[in-house]
Amino acid sequence: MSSVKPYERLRKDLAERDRSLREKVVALGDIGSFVHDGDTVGIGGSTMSRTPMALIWALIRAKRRKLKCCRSITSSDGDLLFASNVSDHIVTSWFSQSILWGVSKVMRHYVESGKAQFEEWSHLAIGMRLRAGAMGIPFMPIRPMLGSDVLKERPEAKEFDCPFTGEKLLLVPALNPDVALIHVQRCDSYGNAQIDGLQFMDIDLALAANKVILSTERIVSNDQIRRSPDQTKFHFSPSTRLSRFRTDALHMNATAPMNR
Amino acid sequence: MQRVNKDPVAGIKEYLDRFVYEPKSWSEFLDLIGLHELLTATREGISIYDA
Repeated sequence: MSSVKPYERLRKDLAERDRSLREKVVALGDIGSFVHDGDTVGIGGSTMSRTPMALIWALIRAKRRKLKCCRSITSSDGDLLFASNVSDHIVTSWFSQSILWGVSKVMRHYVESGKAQFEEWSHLAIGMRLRAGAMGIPFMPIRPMLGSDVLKERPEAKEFDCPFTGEKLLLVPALNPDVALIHVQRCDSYGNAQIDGLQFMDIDLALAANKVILSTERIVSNDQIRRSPDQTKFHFSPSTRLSRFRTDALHMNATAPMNR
Repeated sequence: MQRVNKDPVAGIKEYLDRFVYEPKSWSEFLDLIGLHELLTATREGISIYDA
């Protein structure tokens, strides 16, 4: 059965959301009330960059189970999710503690012993699956993975002849996580958030997800957010374009002093 | 990292016990991994990687 959510389902999820302007700061330990067993959880950042480790740490302590996690590139966060039995299925393009240490030995143990699943896609395929999810369409045509052995393991992807050029393309299914976990440098208490540096796939991830949980290094005033609106990548409420958005902010008190 | 690479299953379990389950709070976890050292280095304008 396809994991792609039909458009009517996405519309229904959108209509049911609370999109009011309200303060959304909660304690890190409250994450268990936002993430449920069996959820699909998208994780922001990439490898060791802007990984939402506090949220993952709290998720493990909340003892969630059977989470299907997806991430552009997975690092030691994946090792922790498998070893803690929080997740038994990770969708990603690369699974290593970093570049230097090679493929994760922890992942190999859990996958080769049949305890967990590593669902491998190309890096761009992950991004395009989230882009399709963000746009509310069921699939995205791409060229990566065609001619690759990775495709042999992914029956969910469908080869397709372009109706305009006749070229062979690959259709990859939309990915719409139940929850997105994203770390940002600063946000206001409403959930308007700014990030420095590379965005990776986080904007599409936030748009594709039904619920967004942010961890932040600083909670700043709404005035400060308004001074540099071009840096605001995640918005508290939907605009016409960003129509599938909800943000909840988690404050990590201990990291705040680093930015004073 | 070395412990995990030597014995992936036991190593990652040890990490979970020491750094995830045992700390009473996220602040305590940060202290455990050297936040104080990082803050001191930041104030003094030096990199903790210089050594």
